[in-house]
Amino acid sequence: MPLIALIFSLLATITPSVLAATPTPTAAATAEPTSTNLEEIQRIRQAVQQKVKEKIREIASTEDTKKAIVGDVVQVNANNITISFEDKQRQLIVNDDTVYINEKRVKTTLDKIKVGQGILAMGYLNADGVLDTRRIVFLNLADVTNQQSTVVAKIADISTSSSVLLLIPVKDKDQQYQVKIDTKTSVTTKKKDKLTTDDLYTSQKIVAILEPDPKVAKTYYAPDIVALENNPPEASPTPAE
Amino acid sequence: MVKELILAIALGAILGFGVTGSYYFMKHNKNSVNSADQATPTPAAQVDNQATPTPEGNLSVQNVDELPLFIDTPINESVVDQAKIDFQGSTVPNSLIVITTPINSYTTTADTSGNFDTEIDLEAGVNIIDVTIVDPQDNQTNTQILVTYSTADF
Repeated sequence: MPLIALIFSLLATITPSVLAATPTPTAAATAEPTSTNLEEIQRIRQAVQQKVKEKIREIASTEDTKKAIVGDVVQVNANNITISFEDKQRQLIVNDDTVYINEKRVKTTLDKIKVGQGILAMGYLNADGVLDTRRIVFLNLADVTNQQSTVVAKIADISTSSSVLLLIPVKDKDQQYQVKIDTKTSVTTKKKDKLTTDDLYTSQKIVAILEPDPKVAKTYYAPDIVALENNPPEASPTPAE
Repeated sequence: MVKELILAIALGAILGFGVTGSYYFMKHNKNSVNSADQATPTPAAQVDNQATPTPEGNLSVQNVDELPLFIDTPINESVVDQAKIDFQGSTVPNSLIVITTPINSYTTTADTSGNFDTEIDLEAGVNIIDVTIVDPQDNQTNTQILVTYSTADF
C-alpha cells in the first residue's frame, strides 16, 4: 500500500510537468485573423504570384524574341555601344550586318553615332542580357518620353470663369495641382458612363490624367477624368422672405 | 498485488492529467478571450503614391508600397507589327487601370478576379506606355513599359 500510494502521488506530480513541457500556444498565434490581416495576406500572395510569373517569363524567353530598347549613347566603339535610359545602362553588340537609320530616315553608318545621341536599338537579347543589335534608329528621346501622369485627388475648387480645377491628392494633402479642362476633356464614371465637365463638383473624388502645360509651370491639362464618385450635393433651397 | 499496482498507476495518471489538463484548459480559454479583446488590427500600409512635380513641371510618381500588377501582354521592350494590340493583365480586384500612350489614354476596370483586358493603339516607332493602378482604397501604383511598333524586317 505505501508503495502504491507513492506511485500514485508520483504520477499526480509528474503529469503537470509533462504538460508544462508542452509549449503553450501564444495568444497572438491563436488569435483569429482580422479581415485586415486577410487582405494583407491576399496582397502578399498576389505580389508573390506576380514575381513568380515574371521569373517564369524571364526564364522562358528565348533568344528568338525580338526586342527593342531606347537610350542615350554613353559609349561607342567598333563592336559595341553602351546606352543609358532612366539611370540604367544597357549593352548593344553591333556588327557589319547592323543597319543604321538617322533622324531623316536615311541609312547611315556607325561612325555617325556620337555620345549623347538618342537611339532605338532593335535586335535579339542574348542570355547575358546584351542586345544583338540588327537595326539602330536615331531619335530624340524627349520626343518619345511619356509625360502624362495620373493622380487620384479631390476637387478642392472649380473656377468656372477660367475652367481650372484645383486638385488635392487624397494621399498627399500637402500637394495641389492647377488643372485646366475644356470641352474636349473626357469625363466618365468608373463604369464608363459619360459625364461632362459640368457634372464635376467640389469635394468630388476623381482620377485625372494630366499633361504638363508647356507654357505655364506647375500647371496641367486634363484630357481625361474618371469620377470615382458621382453624388453631387443637392442645391440649397432659396430661403423664403 | 500487481492488480492493485496497475490500478494505482491508472488512477494516479487519470487524476494527474485530469487536474492539470483542466487547469490549462481554463487558463487557455481565459487568454483567448483577453487576446480577442486586445487584438490590434494590422495598420494599413502607409501609402504615399502621389505625383510630385519636378521643377520642370513633369510629374514623377513615388511608389512607397506597390500594388501587385502583372501585365501579360504586351511584353516590355517587345517589338510588334500591329498598330492595335491587346493590353491584358491582372492586379487588385475591382481596381481602375489607366493606360496612357503617346496618342491616347484608356481606362478599364479589373474584374473580381483582378483580370483586365483592353485594346490600345500604338504609333509607329517607340511607345512608352504608362500604366497606373488605383485600387478601391485609392492606393496607386504606376509603371511604364516600352513597346515598339515596327514592320521592319530584321
